[in-house]
Amino acid sequence: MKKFAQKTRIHLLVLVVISLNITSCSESFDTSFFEKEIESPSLALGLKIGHSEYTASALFEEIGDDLSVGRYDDNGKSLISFNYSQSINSDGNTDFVKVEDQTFTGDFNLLENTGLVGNVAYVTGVITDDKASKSFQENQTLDLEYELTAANFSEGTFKIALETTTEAQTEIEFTIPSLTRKSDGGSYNKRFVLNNNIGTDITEIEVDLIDYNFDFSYDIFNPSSLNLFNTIAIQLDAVITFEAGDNVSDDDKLSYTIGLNTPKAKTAYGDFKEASFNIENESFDLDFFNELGDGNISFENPTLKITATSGYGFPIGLTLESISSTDGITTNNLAITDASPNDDQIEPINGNTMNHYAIINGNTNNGETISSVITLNNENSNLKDLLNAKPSQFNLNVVAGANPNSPNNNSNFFDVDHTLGLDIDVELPLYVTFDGLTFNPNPFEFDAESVDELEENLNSLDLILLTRNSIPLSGEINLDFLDQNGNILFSKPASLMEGAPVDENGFSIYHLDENGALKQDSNIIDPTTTTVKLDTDNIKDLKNITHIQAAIEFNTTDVEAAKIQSTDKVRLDLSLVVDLSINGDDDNN
Amino acid sequence: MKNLIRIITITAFTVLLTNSAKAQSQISFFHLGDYVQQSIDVSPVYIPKNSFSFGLPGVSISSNLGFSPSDLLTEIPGSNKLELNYGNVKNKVEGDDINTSVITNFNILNLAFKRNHGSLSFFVNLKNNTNWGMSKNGLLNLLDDGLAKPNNTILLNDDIHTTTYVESGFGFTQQFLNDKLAVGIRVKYLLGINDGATNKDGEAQVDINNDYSWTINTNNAYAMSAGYNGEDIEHISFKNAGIGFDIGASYEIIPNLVIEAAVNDIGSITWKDNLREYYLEDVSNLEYVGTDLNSDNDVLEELEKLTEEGNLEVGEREGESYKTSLATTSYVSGSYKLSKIHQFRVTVFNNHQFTDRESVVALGYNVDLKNTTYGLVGIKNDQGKIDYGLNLATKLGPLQFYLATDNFNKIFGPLEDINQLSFRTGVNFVFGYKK
Repeated sequence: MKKFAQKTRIHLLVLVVISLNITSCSESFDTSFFEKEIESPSLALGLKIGHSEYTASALFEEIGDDLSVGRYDDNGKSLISFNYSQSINSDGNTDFVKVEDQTFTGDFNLLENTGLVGNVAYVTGVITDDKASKSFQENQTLDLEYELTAANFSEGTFKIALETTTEAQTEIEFTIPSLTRKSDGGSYNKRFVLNNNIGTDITEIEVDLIDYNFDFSYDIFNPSSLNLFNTIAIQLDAVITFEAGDNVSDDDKLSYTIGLNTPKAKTAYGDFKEASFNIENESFDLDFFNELGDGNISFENPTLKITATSGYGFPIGLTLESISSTDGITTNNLAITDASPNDDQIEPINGNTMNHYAIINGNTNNGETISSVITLNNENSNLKDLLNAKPSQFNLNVVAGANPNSPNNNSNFFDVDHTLGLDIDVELPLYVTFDGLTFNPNPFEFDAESVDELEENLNSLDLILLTRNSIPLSGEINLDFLDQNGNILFSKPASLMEGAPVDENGFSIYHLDENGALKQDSNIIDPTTTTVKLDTDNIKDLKNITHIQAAIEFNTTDVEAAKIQSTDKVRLDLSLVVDLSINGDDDNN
Repeated sequence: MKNLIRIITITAFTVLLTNSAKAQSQISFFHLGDYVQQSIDVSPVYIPKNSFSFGLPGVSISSNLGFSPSDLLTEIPGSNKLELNYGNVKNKVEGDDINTSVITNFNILNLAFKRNHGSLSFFVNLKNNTNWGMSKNGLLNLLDDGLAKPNNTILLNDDIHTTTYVESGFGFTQQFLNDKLAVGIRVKYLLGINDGATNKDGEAQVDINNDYSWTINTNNAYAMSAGYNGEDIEHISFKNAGIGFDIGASYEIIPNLVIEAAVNDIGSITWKDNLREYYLEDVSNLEYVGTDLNSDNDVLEELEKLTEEGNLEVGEREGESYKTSLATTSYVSGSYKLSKIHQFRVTVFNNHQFTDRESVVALGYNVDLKNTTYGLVGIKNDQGKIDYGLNLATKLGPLQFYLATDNFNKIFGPLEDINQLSFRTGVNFVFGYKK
């Protein structure tokens, strides 16, 4: 019994110890950790919104509606260029060879050396068979500023009138060897009768020029020479028939008048001298420079190309120094610095090194055309200076003339149907330096409705912008958040882009492949990653955002000029990182 | 005698230091042995100390989170607030995953009758086993803002399995060889309540690329469920059923030196009713890259396209019947009793559900009195750390109170640092005493 009691006491003692231990432990439980406030759980989610890829061509096309972005071959690579094209009107040259109305007159002593003496009434038999014959020849000269050897006319008349002071019947064979019929090639020939004894007099005739060709080189006195110009050869063969009582005199005259009325040359041959050629002045606006705003741009190798396709049978010179550019205040004229005048169809005017012609080749075969290309660039002009002055307008005030620097001994031809196609192409290859040149490509849609729904649970919202740039221009991207009316609700600086490095020729060594990876050869180049944090106000505004505009500002400041290839691109990848409270009805704050 | 105690002690601690222990072993409860009738849940061999006992409803909870509350909840610097910190949990993970499990056992009914050479018992238990092989790169990664981390890979291959079932049956223990050998068996009918699991061989991988686009690969990714879905009670069906066994034996080698072995939860449940599978179509390198911002497409439309037919289609289909094995465990124990009071016991516990797990080894000492036993257990848990268990069973009149925990030492540390919990307690009515 004692033993049992002893065991029971031990038993109870242990129980008490354990109980006290547990109790003391439980009292010593530090539960303060679990009494602390616990923040609402949150979950962060990253989501790719999408990407936008801009070719350099597309970016530059955004600059101006009038700007044509083309390709310029540079060492086998396609360089982007700004192209302006302008056709020059040269239609007003149908009367380039102009023959004014003019009259030629001449007279001859009709009865000289016929045996008549003095002024008498004719007595039958005084002159054998009462008849006498006389021939007269003469070269008349057209009043022209050029030396025509031949021509034909599409309009106009040739009027011949004859008179005589004698009363004897005078029959005249009027021949113009310079004027040949188109129908049979024969010389113009007409019989006139004055003082007709048996019929009506024929004293004048009018001829349509359109039926005849003129050979202005015919010399009536030396028909085989054909070395004259502007000449109309005339021959009159007269037969005088006397009747008794005719009042005749040994000084009776036969006179003629030839009138050219409203002649319009269709074709002409000869030496047109330095006759002026009509070209209308043209100008084109360079709105692109206005779009630059405060940005500067400098083109390293602009070209102005004059492309002419001429059917005319004479060279044409265009004065170049009258080409100018203006920004509305200052006008800069083209200056030729032609180091190789024999190679590029640019020649000083009459040896004057201050003024130059661009020479458009003349055609040598009538009915064909010949092309000429005259290129102005850094090597032969100050064109770069004209364009880098950020002009608003480019003026093509050229003066044209035939046979530049060749006043004599030209063999030209003209046809009223000939044309001169004249195109001016200003090509500005993007071998440039930029300073703050901003592009505003089309904004992309940004549907923030779901953000609106999540606003209460939205702890933070970041936009992640990855940029990959194969354009050798450094730049900055600014994100403008637009409402449906295009108003900017807020803007965020988004990214600084490194310009792609260039090779020894100035071309980017990076490229964007079809999957959007930026590579140098086959090595992938990491994109530039920028986090754009939106603050609380921004997030509240998001529900009104419909579009995001990525404004890209390029710079080449402090670096050498860059060459922009058509294959150069910049790619933006836009992602969203949100941190959301799991329970939206939180009162955790 | 002192030498014997020393040998046992040295042996036990040698084992402790060379094996990793496992939680949820209920070793402290196991060491209560025949004092508590509910010990038949861990050892079918039960020789009651009372002629009849009736167990009131009791509860057993064993959990192993693999991380502690202080791992998950960390203080926001400069404030007195806590925040969920999945990254911290992730950093605690050694290897690729954390095995998180919670085992709950409600003793609804327990009757035990002592026989001349054995016992007969009846029981009804409601059990839930939930295991989550929490992948470091899976849901944990996702919750750790993994979708907002570029160049991150979320590999959703978490192995999640939860089963709830009712087991009811009887236990029978018979003694032989002058009561030196005892053999026990329990036969139980298993009624499946519900079951849910992810496909072990399936996975879904989302690569978060540096621009937050996703590359998605899925392979046989689906989750299955069976039984009661929380809505239609009719799905608690006898179609989801099975048979289970517990077997065990003990042998007294020499007086006071007993070896004992028990294998519990042999069997399976066949799930046939309300079988559903929730699946993701297999996709290979499916890219979600947003939209072309210069087009009229909308990013949300692009997201919707992800789940359209031909892409990452999410669907539900009828599943096929399947079996789930019970979480078989085993105990091997050797005990020696000095002076009929001081009992020393070495126990090795194995959970055969997880073949990759190592044994739990424990050394216990109990004071065995007539109606009371209490003791301490040293346990080397599955994290290689030493825990201390405590057990107690005592009879006060017809009422028997029992308590066992394998993590007694945790009581002395900060509560928030506890990452394992094993606790079992209950009250029995016991009648009569039959030595």
